[in-house]
Formats: sequence, C-alpha cells, structure tokens
Amino acid sequence: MTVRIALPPLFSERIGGRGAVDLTAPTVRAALVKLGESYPDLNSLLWRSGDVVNPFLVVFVNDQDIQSHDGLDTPLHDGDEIVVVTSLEGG
Amino acid sequence: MRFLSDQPHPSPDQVLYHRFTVDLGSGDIRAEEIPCQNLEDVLGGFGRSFQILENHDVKEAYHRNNPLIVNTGILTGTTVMTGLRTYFSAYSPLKSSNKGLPAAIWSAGSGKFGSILKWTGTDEIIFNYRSPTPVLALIQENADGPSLTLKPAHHLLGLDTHEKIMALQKEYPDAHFAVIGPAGENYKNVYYAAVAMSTVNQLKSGDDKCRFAGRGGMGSMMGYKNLIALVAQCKDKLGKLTPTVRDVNREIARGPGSKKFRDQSKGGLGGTWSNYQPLQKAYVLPENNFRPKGHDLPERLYRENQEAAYVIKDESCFRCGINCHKNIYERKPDGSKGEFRAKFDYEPLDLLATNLGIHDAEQALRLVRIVDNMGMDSISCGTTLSYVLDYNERHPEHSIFNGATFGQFDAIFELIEMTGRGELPEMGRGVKRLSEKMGEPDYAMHVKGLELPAYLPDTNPGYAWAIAGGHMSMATFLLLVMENDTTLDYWVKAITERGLYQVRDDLIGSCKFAGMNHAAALQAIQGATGLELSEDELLAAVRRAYLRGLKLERKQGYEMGDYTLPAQVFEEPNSKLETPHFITREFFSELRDRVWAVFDPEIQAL
Repeated sequence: MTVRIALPPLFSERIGGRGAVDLTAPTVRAALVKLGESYPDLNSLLWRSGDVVNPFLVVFVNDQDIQSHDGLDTPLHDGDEIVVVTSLEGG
Repeated sequence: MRFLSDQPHPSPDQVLYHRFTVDLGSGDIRAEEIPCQNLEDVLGGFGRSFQILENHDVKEAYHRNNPLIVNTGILTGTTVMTGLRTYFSAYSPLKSSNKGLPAAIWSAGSGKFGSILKWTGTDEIIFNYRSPTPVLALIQENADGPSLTLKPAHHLLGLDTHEKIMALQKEYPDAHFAVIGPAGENYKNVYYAAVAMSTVNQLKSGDDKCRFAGRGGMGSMMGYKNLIALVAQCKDKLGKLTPTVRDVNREIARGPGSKKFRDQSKGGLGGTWSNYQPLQKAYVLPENNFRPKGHDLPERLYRENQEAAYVIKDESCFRCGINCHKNIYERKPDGSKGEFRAKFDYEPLDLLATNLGIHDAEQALRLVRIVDNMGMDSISCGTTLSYVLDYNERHPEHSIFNGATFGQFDAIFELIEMTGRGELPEMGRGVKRLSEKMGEPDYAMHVKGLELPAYLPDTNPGYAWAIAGGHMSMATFLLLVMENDTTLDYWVKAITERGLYQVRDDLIGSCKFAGMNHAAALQAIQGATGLELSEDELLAAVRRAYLRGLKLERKQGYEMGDYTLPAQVFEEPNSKLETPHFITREFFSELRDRVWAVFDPEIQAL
C-alpha cells in the first residue's frame, strides 16, 4: 500500500527539511519501521526500547487517532495519509 | 517595504523599509526609507533590530541612550496565516550579565496591531530618549504615506491593560493598540512589564483578550520612555490571496506542524494546555518552584477535568485557523457560555498555578487574569513568585514580603497586585536580583537573568544558549522527554545545528505555532512578496541573527560563568523525575566548551 507520512518540523529538520515521505507498507507499524530505515536519524524520535513507539507521539491515519483503531497494527490502504504529531510542544 | 526591482532575487539594497525615528525628548520625528544592508534587514524582526542595538553603547536600561525599537517581519500584515507579529527590542531592564550590564532582547506578540502598523506603510519605529510627559504615538496612513504623531496620554494613566485598550477604542474606533498596564507605568519597580496588544475578538466582545509581548520588560521600557500606548489606524489592506499562499495557509491550518495547537474538535491535540498530561506523567511538570513532587495534584488542572465546570472555547488571532487561544467562560446552568474569565495557555497556567502550589481552577483563573490586567510577563512574574514562596517555606522564621508560601492563594494574589502597582520593588526586579539579595541564588530559576519558562532546567542544558527567553529562542526544552538522549554529541548538535533555528519566526513575522518547516516559510515569503530565497540563504541569515545575539551578550559583559543553569540542577537532583539526571557540572562544562568551539569562530567572523 502506498501511503504518505506527514511529519512535524521536529522530524523534518532532521531529514533535510522534508515535510512528507511516501512509502509502501501494510500497517502503521511497518510504515514507521520503514521510515526509520530510510532515515535513521528519526529512530530516536520514533521508538523507545525496541519496537515500543515513543509515548509522546500521536499517530493519525486519515485524521483518525490510531488508538481508536488497532494502534500500530492499523492496516493501511492505498492513498492513506499518516500524520505524526508530537504531543509536547511549547509556547 | 518597497522593492525597487521586480527581480525575484533583488540585492538587499534594492529593498527599502520605512522607518520613523522619534525623539521623545524634543518631539522631533523623522521619516525615511532605508535600504536594507543584508538579508536580515529584509526579513525584519530582531534580525534588523539587533543590528541597530549593536551600534548603541548602553550601560543602563533606563537611560536616554537605550532605544526602543518597534518593528515587524516580512510576513506581518500579509495574507500568510499567522503573519501578525510585532517585535519590541531594546536593552532589557531585566536580563543582565553578572557584571550588571543590560542585555539586548526582543519580545514578540500577535493580535492585529502589527498588521495595521504595516498597512499604514510603517515597518519600524525607533523611539529615542524619553518623553517629559505621558504620550501615545498615533500612526496613521495619509495620502502621501504614513504619519506619526505624539499625543498626550495622561487620561490613560492608572488604567489596566484592557481598560486602556477599551478607552482608546472609543477615541479611535477603527484602530488597534499596543499598551502598557500599571506595571509598565511603575517601571522603576517592575522590570518585567509586558506590552499588551489588542485582538479583533477583544474589541468586538469587550472581553480582555489581549495578546502579549511579555519577555524581557519591553513594557517597562515603554513606561520608562513615558510612552503609554501605540495606536495604529488604517483601513484593512489585506492583499490578494495568491495560489501559493493559499497552499501555505491550508498547510498551516490543517497540516502536522500546527496540529498540536488546534482544537480537538478540529483534529488537533488541544493546544499548549494539553502539555499538562504528558509532562505530569513523567513528573516533569514544574510544581512548587520547579520541583515536582511525584503526586497527582496537578491533574486537577487537566482540561478534561475542567470541561464540566466551564465552557472552554478555542479562539484565534486575526484570520488564524489554528485557534490556539483556550478561553475560559463561566458555564451557565443551561450549559451555555457565560462571562469570560481568562485564558488557559500552558505557560501562564503552570507558572501561576501548579508551580505556585495552586491546583484549583477558580484560583488559577484569577491569578492569570490579574497578571494580564497588571500588564506583567506571566513567566517572569510566576517564576519570581515561586522563588519567594520557596524561600518562605525554607525560612518560616525569616519570611519575606507577606510570608506567602505554596498554595496560599490570597497571599499570592496580594503579592501580584502589590508588585504590579510597584509596591514590591524587590519582587518586581526579577528573581536574579532578589535571590542574590537574599543570598540564596541556587534555587532561583533563571538563566542569564531571565526567568525560566515552564520546562524544568533539569531536562534542558540548552537554556544557557537561549538569547531571548528559554523556550522561545532555543528549541531544546522538550528534547530529553521526547528522545531521552543524554550524550554530549547529541546535545552539542541539538544546540548548534537545530535548536537555534527556532528564532526564524522572530525575523519573518510568523508565529511558531504555524509549525512551518523551512520550505513552507520560503514558499510563504515568495507567495506573499515575490522574493525568492534558497533555504541556505534563509538559514544563513537566521544563524547570523542568532549569533549576533550571542555577540551582543558578550558586548554586555557576559562571560563563561553567565552561561550556566540554576545550581540546584547540579547539586540536588530531584529523584521524583522520571527523566535521567545527566546534567552534572562535568557534563555541562564539557558541553559549554564544545558549543563555544562551534560558535566562537562564527561570532568572530560576523
């Protein structure tokens, strides 16, 4: 499934300013793993101790929080948009 | 601004900005168009004002040689969403080196004042010297360009920030305003007075919903200059929305960068207030003078725990789709919205409630509102207060002021009122001076003389390199919680390669909550002005502007010893925190050496 992952500035500043990444993955977990493989600088933001996602991230698929679906195992479909948001930002 | 060339990439001197230079002592006013000298001049904000300050030798903030510069950024007043910022810059009465010299600072605020100012044709005003009598500056658009007139302002004295704005609205119904409150009028005894700027919502509803340029005492500087208010009067001149800007705005309103700040009903995470939950879960939410207790009392102020008692509305500045303001209204028996009470943004809420040992929303509302009405920076006021409460708890036999300690609402409220009225100079001059006078600086939460925002210094060694507010000018304040990395390499990189670019929005006139990445910022500039820049050019200008800030600190006597954290961070690690204790004196010393090894050659080359 080809999907787009939209990233906040905290992520994009580490990958040359890229605000979104297109990739192919069957689930949200697979998509985030692939994102980290393509851009290793993002792994410390994405993951905590192995395959536990950073608790300070909120992940949406097509504007729905994945926690209201199957979490990281939420299946993806062609054209889906994943949005990664940090639950902590200042101001 | 005026472009002399229709080339998409003109040299800076082909871009002119309009400046008024006002001699408040004599009343002389000079208007001129100035050719930009470099890209920082073109972009505006502190990128321009710090170059002006660099050419002034100022030993005391309250001195006739200290100019107050009011300007805008290249996106202010454009169709780019959040392009609303006004910047106030001067040598600060509050932030100062250990040698006692005032540091240059800027403070920014939104509302609609900046847009109107820009639409009059004015890009910058330099206020020199001091007026012998209270005045306001009226900036208008005339047939032959902008005009500036000084007018008597005695009638505004004594009014709070909101009252001043509403009084001015009666005189100038189609204008917007930047005013000081009682604290600014009492500038001799209050060094952290803020500038309050009117919003469309405020003028329409009559509710006190100002936005503030709070940091560094720019309201105190207005007070010193006897400049009580700025009035910008001009018809709306919003330009035509280009397809490029429309795309940028759509991204700002719906994209991931602002999602944190948007309303939950609009797919967002609910604004900065929603920082409470994740920070509390890790016990890094500042409580009782930045010393979390590891208990659940702060949870009482979670938004979800206030929904039943109040109507909480997400409201916005002019034309902004983010709606980051969380305005609290009484809930009537039928569930509808009653009287406006105050706003609950993360910083004021934590620093004027949880960090003072207050866990009751009703009390928090009153504290937030009185600080706004008095016209004080809620960060500096709150952090100085928490030191006072801490001191009194440590010294019950020798307490200071009214003896207030954590959680004592009435006594805390009294301290705020007295401070705003100028009756407690030791409290009003900030935590650095107070703690040095009391001989106990170790738990005074400031860095370089500026009070810390609501993020623990135990989690952020980068505070030492912030140049105008710990969280607004160095984006390292949440990294430990986000990534848990405690290596030196990580922190050197975080400070020297990423964190400093946080100040980009403090040149260009947009709000950080827009969450634009650099590509989007470039697109916004091109779409709104036609100016085409590369990312390298933009980032180089931002970096030069930031480094100029460090250079200015050195000019004002900052030395290695000024670049540190509160001693408590090193000496008394808080075992309640779930984040690791890694900022030892050894770690910090090595970090300092490595950061300066990067910055020093660049500063010398400026």
